[in-house]
Amino acid sequence: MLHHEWNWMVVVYLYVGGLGAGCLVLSGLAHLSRWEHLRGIARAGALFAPVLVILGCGLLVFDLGKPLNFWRLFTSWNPVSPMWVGSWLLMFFSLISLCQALLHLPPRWALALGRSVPSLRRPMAGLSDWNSQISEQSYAQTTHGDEPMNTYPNGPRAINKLRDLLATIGIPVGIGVGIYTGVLLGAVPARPFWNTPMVAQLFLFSALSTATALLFLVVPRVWEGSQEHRKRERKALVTADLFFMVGEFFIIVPFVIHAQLGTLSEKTALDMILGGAYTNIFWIGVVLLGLFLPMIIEVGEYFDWFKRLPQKLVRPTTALAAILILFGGYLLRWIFVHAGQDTTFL
Amino acid sequence: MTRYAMVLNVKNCIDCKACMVACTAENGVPLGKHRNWVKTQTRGAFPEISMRIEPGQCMHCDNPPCVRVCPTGASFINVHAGGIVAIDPNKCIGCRYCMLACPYDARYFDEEKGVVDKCTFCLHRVVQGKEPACVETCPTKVRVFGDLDDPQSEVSQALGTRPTERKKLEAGTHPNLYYIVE
Repeated sequence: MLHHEWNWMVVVYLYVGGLGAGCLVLSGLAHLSRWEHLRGIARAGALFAPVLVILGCGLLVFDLGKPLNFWRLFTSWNPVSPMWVGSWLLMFFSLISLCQALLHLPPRWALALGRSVPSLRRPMAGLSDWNSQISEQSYAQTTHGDEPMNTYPNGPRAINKLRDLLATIGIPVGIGVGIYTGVLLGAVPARPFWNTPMVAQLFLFSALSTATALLFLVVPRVWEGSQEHRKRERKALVTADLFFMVGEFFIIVPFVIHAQLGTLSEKTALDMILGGAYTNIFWIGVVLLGLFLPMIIEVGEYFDWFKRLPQKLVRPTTALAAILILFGGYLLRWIFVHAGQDTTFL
Repeated sequence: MTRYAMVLNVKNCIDCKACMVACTAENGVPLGKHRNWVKTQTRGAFPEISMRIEPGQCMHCDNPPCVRVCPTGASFINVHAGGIVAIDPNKCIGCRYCMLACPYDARYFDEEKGVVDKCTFCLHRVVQGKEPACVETCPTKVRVFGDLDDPQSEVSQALGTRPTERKKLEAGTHPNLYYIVE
């Protein structure tokens, strides 16, 4: 490996930025669907999105040569620079996702926050009231099971509308941030490994897939539901994740074919994963362990293949699939950041 | 208008690296970093051997990718100074995106100052009527520097009479360093 200007901080940013973006998109979709069994996803996604993206932004700023001068990103005008566009996107994303997280804050957490910070006691009491949702049982009684409906009985109309509005804006902004992480790399012809139309799509699908995997692991921590609720929620996540992973696979295929059809620069660059230094880690780490293995487990979960297995084994197996996806997503960013910097325009 | 460019008579280069030393001294380039370089490539084996020597530096492109990707406008084309590609160190935040965008790898990161830096065609000397340090110091007169818009300038004369090529034109950069090919 040559000397690389962009290192682990950029890798981690691309990863957590994508994760956060995916969380916001999935949270928005789950919220707007109004399905009872997706309420936990809406909440967990909204809570994780700002935390992850703000962490990523912090790393980006810290990686600068002059971190204290980061504000110059916002006092200049260069809309043809992907990084300039991305800075504004991230700023906008952080604001929207923070508001959305507040309006999805579990009432228990809001009350606890009010107790520890006395000056926040009253606003937090109000917030917990706005955010309290009807129970699963009363949902079932009111809707006779299936018809989706708004589940915030105590929120003022304006607040409930705002929650919907934030979700509606959050989806395109989240997709924007997910794509942007790839465009940042794809926009430089000088690094042929990055400079393909597929990178942005690949990063977006990987962002959505890793976010689904993360939600798979964390939703039970922020939403208690009946066994039936949990079952439908898992099914929804597995279905979405399978869709994203198949998408990812069909972006990797043309990316590799591109190596054979492209110019010498592109061929030489793609050699990085076709016999070069990153071959094993890409095909074993990203494709086999990060994509195929979890795909098989999730297909099994989808078709209920594991129902004969003891319950003790099913849980860890599906959790393993999610962990593998998260691991594969990180490796993908790592490979792209480093392999790209090893290539040059011939 | 003035349009600065450089013509390099590569055949004269003997790989003495005096241009690199002169540049480093003139511009206070940090240890281990360089604004210009001399690349060598040998072919064959002794006694049937030949060597290609090629000096280079920032190409001061007319369509510089480094300027396009710069998020703060720190990298810019200085239209008041012969169209050179310049960096405003006050605006640079050290994100190093420009370094990755440059197909010639002509930029370096100054860790101490936290900014990116590169060849300026020794603008501080040029405004005093002097030549860039690398041009003045070259013992075999590889480099010719001047104004493309002045038909009497040495670069215009050289370009009019000698066949030249430019590097990585396919990258769409429109570089302003011309290499004489013979």
